[in-house]
Amino acid sequence: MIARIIIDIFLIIGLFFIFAGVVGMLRMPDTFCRLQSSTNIVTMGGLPILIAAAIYGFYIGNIAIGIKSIIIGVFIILTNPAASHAMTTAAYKIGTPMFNKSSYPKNREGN
Amino acid sequence: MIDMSFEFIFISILIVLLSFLLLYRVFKGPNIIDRVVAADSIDVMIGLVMVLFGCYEGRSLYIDLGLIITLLGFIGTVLISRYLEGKI
Repeated sequence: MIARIIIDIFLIIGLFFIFAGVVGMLRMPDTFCRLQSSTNIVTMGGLPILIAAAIYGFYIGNIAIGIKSIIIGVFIILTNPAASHAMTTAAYKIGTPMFNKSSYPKNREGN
Repeated sequence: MIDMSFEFIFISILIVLLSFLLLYRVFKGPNIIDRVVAADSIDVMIGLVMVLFGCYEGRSLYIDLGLIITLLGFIGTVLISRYLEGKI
């Protein structure tokens, strides 16, 4: 019974962060702010759900579910910053318009 | 042995509804990067739904499918970003 409560807590944490990320994707004023919300979805929303799946797999005795969930979690930790950095660099180099209250240099030769 | 079918189905349906909300950003987004970001997020969310369905069925085959979907989403995102940057 205690394992079920722990799994439910992890699932609800993941669902809350996915919901917050989707609201941010729909309501943020700028492309770069939306990129930040996308990282929120993938990292903070995906990892607790994968941890819950791993705990469930180890608890019911199915080892393959636990090991493969941990492998997907490590893969997400390794690849999501690379993808976010590539998207942000592309958005900055093709001259995406920024939010007008931003204090970052808006010319492309800034750095 | 515990029976957790209700939680897995409930969380899966809510994640699918949230990814349908993200389709608004794919179709309307004012810039091309917005579409790429929303498509990447939808990829990861469908991978999570695959993992939860694998837990519901009790088989580890669907978790392999989730890993493959996440991998292909990462490769496509990096490829589109490098193309827009002009390096390819």
